[in-house]
Amino acid sequence: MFEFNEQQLWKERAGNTVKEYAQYLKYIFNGHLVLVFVFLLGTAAYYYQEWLSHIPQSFPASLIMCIILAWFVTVSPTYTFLKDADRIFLIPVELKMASYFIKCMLVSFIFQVYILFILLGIFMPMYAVLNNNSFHSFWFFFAILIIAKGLNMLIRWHVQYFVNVNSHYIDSIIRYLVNAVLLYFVFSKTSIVYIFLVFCILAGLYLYYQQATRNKGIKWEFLIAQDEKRLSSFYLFANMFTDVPQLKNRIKRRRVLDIFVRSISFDSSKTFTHLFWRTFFRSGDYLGLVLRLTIIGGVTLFFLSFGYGQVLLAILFLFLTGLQLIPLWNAYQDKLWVDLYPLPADLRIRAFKQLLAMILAIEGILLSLSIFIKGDVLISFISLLSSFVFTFMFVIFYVTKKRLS
Amino acid sequence: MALLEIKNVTGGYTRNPVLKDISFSIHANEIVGLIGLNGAGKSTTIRHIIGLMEPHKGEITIDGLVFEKEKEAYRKKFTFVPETPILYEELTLEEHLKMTAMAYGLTEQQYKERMEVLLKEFRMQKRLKWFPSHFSKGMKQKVMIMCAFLVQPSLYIVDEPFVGLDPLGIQSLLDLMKKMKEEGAGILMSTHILATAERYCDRIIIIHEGKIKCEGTMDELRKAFNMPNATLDDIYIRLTKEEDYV
Repeated sequence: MFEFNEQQLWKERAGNTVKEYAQYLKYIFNGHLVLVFVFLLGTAAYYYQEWLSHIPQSFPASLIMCIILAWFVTVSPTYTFLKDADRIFLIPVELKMASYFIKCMLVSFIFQVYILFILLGIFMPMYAVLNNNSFHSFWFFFAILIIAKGLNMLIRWHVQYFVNVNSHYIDSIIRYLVNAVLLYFVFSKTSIVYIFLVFCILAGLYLYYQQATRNKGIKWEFLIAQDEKRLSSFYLFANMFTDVPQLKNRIKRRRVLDIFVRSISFDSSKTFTHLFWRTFFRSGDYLGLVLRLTIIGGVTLFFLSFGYGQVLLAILFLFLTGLQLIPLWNAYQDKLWVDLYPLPADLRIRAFKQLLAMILAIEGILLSLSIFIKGDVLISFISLLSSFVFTFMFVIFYVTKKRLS
Repeated sequence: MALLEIKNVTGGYTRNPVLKDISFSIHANEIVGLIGLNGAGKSTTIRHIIGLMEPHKGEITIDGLVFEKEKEAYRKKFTFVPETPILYEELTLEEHLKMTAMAYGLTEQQYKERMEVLLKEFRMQKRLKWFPSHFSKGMKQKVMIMCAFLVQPSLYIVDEPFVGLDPLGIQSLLDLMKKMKEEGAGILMSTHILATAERYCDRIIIIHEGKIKCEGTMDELRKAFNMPNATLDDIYIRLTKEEDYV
């Protein structure tokens, strides 16, 4: 007999998700950008510690912690790993899906608790410094966060039975307020009775929503859309490090940038210049990538002082930008027209190199400017010259036919 | 001299040739229909003509030019309308036309004048700023046709252009082909719509299993098959049936 087996479905979906995440995580950790991030993280940790050593006693640590953590406790989606076609194929077995969804909730719960653990870990040194080094409250706080998270997830699951999105918003606001109050009581060490009372409110909310949605069906479209959102936010994240094909075809108009393209003359030798710049401005995330790297680079160069090491750092950012732009070359690989145009064969690569050189030179100027504003005039001047030399070398020697194929 | 001359061409993707010793020519002022079943070798023939594949044997010339020797001059001689539209996702309709005009060395003046006419003919004036993702299949096909006819080359290679086009679009395309033909262009059109081919093509070439089965005007074909009042459909079906018995 063929019978629907939710256990089989769960294994398949969870397995595929793990596989997909692992694949991109591999790219992320092999990428060049991860080095920069580890570096930045280390620096941030260093400055955090520095700051803690002379933090003012009046600093509202409890308040900030309760505002931020309450947000993370409130946002409690259940990752369902549903696919678009499920709205057709799984609807008949909706009633047999209960244990599938329970497993989904468990996985989501563990993941979100883990995030809370990290956040609490980040905040705890600050809290301890202001409260007589009371690190031992960590586990008590964590236990409270776990219980609150569990209740929030259960409530959220029942709320999504409502079609009306407004009820979702109202629920989120109510829960955020309740969570914030709860955490405020916890962090300011009020009597346990108050904490218990707030938990009772959360439990009451849960019972209310459970009763109210008892006879409602699962909102497949909503759950599927939610899961697509989860996936695409992961892709967006992974896209910072590597090329995510699923994101490739997102075209944005960005009309403002037309002024730059309009100045390209109407001449057959400019055909590819025209094409590459349009693509750079509109397709995928090339522009965003360059902006991100320039901003991260600029800020890093401004706040760090490595002396002449700054120059190397600036070049490193230029190199990363150049590497990330190379896929732009392949943007029209499947477009027959590029092969049919009656144009000299090297026109395309010339146009591409010109674009690369232009972008890297501008980024070099901006990075050097950041060093200049910081006050290191001589270093900024050296960095400017080195950027131009690097750009020239990168475009001439690094960007070869072999690397572009 | 013929505009397009295909002489004893044998070719294909592997050693096993798809095209077996094919010869035909297209002259100025004529529309020639290339007819054949799926997999008969129409698209492979076209890929050879537009320079995407080199023949194993034989020679293809356009206006006396050979692709291998003068690539740019050769490519300038023709434009191509593909069977399935190929568009740049990041360019608007206007920019597609501009790209084509630039690539084929039109002046800005020529580009603007011809664009106006084509936009009106295909009722696309209001779509100038649109991106391909908002176009239907038929509109995409219109973009392809407009790009090809913007250039006004001496030879047009048109691969199954009617699928997805609305009736007005089909009529516009046919009118345009007729006009270009009268102005001295040659057109090679592959299609499955035999009734249209019969009405608009000056000559028909039937290709079957990589060989030219027969070619000529409708009258010549009718005579050759001894079917005085036959349509192209009749002749075609007869021809492929004969093949099955051999």
